[in-house]
Amino acid sequence: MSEKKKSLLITGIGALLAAILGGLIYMQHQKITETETEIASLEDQIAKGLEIIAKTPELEREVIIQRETDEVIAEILPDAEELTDFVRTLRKFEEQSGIRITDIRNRPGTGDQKQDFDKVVYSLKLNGDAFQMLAFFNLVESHSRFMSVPRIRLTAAQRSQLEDANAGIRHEIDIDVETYVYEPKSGSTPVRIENFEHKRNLLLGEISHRQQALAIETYEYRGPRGRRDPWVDPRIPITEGDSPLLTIEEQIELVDGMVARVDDARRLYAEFLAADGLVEEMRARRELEEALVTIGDDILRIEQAAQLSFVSAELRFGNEVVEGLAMLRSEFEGVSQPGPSLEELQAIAGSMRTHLQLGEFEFALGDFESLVERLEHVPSYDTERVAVAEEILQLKNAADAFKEFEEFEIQIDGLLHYEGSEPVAVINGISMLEGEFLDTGVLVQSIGANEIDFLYRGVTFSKSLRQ
Amino acid sequence: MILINLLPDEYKKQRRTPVKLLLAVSSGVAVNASLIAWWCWLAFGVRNAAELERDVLTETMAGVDPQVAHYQSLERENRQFTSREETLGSITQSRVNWTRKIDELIDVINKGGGGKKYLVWLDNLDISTAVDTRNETYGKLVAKAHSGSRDFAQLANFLDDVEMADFSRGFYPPAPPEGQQREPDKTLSPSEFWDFTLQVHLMAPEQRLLATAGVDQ
Repeated sequence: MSEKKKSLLITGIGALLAAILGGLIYMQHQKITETETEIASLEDQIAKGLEIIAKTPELEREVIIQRETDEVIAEILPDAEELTDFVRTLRKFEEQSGIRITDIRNRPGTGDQKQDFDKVVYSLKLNGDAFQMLAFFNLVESHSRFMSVPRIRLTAAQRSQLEDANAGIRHEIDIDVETYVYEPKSGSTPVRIENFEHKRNLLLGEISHRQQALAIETYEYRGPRGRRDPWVDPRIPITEGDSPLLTIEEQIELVDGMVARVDDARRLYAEFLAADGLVEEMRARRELEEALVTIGDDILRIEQAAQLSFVSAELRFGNEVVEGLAMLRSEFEGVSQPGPSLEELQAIAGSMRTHLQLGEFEFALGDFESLVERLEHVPSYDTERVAVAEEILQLKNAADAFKEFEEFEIQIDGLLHYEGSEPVAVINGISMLEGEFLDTGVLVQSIGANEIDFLYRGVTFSKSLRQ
Repeated sequence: MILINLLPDEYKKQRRTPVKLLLAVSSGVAVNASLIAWWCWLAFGVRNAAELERDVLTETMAGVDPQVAHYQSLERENRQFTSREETLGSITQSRVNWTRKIDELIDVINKGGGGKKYLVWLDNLDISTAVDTRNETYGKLVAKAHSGSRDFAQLANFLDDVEMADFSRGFYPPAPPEGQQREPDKTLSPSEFWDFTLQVHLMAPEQRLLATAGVDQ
């Protein structure tokens, strides 16, 4: 082979080898480039992953709080099993409020279902007055399980129904009561959180705050408080006769006056408590006791005369006058000496005597009732008070006797006096002599010219001819 | 021509490799040797380093992935809870405490002083909380009412008190007073009276919250 050919051959082989090596090098480059691309991608993913991971503690905190809060939601809203108790709960509310449920129906779902919350609606028909209705609503709306009243329709009781005092006020009330059943549909197993208990304990404050924010607003309903039912016509009937009823304004003025007197009595009580010295204390006690007796008398008079027909006035009279006086008496008795004082006993005795002389035995008995429970606390060593207490008991006996005697039918038809013989009285058509008893146990004590003295339960009653 | 060299060896001329051939071979060897070196450097140096780095990052990623999955699970759970809370919030916010409202209305009616300011009573009560977002209505309270006086101004007194009272929080103001005087009933005192309608419309739940927030504080 010539040199030239040799050269060409060697050159060719060299070039071929170089080309092969070049190819290999290119392939390496490709692989390296791919690997570097993978590296860049991994670095990017890792950076993003780290960014996400940095937010994990905050998210864990939020999820821990929400898990605890979810328990509150489960307490606020019943699950399907507890729904069967719903009707029993309403029945309990009926008993507690005094209202009467006359119809109860479950209304089918309205389609307004909110995710994990299924609405349940009951339609109720009720009978009762406004305050019973409010008591019922309050029980519904303040119950630990969420309930609401989205619809109310009330028709006031007719005036004719109100005239039957035994029936009570019965408005017709038609309502819907709705609640939601909590049944998580999109549930998943809770994610495991490292040191969950410890982390939860650190977040108790925040959890409590969030739970309170979910708490349902409740209202403190304090009952009728002496107010009139606005669905009852407050106008008073105008009656013809001897004692026309007071107008509404007059009734309000009367009650205002009585309330002012009770306030004055309270002022006297305050003076009694603040009295400096025995003399001042005794003066304040006497004035207070007189005030208590006279206010008590007037209360009885007003009640007897049934002067109050306007509901608001009646309620205010009961709450602020009658109960106010009773409370004041009770407080006074708590701080004063055991049993009623001598001055109070004398005031009561004097009042009872006056009432009996006027034939007002009911008022006399009312005076007695005002201190009957305290009479037994009069100490036996206090002879003065004991004497007055005994007189009061005698006056009470006389009032009882008077009350019973008034109910007896005793008609004196005639009186006969013959010289030399005993006088005869014709009573209820029967001839009676002195010392004889009527069939009611009344003794014919003495027969005068125009009147007869009867003795009943130790009390002498005089009745004249034709009385 | 055939050349035969019969000279003894010591007299023969020395024959050397041609320069071109030498250059060609040298160049070939040099280039190929360089290429081989380059390839070795790439294969055993750069590529190994890159693969090593890739392996390290892959391991790192293997540690990050579970934590990211943990975060995503927490996020899903968080979304569910948030959605429930929002739904519960909308349910509770939309509720009106009618015990409070009716109690406050009764307070206003009783404030009339038995006729000195007004004497009002009602025949009925109709409450609805139906929402109509298109017309922006959220419920209303309607009652047929009476004012027991010949003086129509008492009706205005009553509506003034309604508007000023806590009762009106959460409602739009009532319509201006209008009514109709009825035939006097001589059997009752007061005998003269007016008929009118008490009607108030509920605000949207968000507005109600703001309106009543001041009361609770």
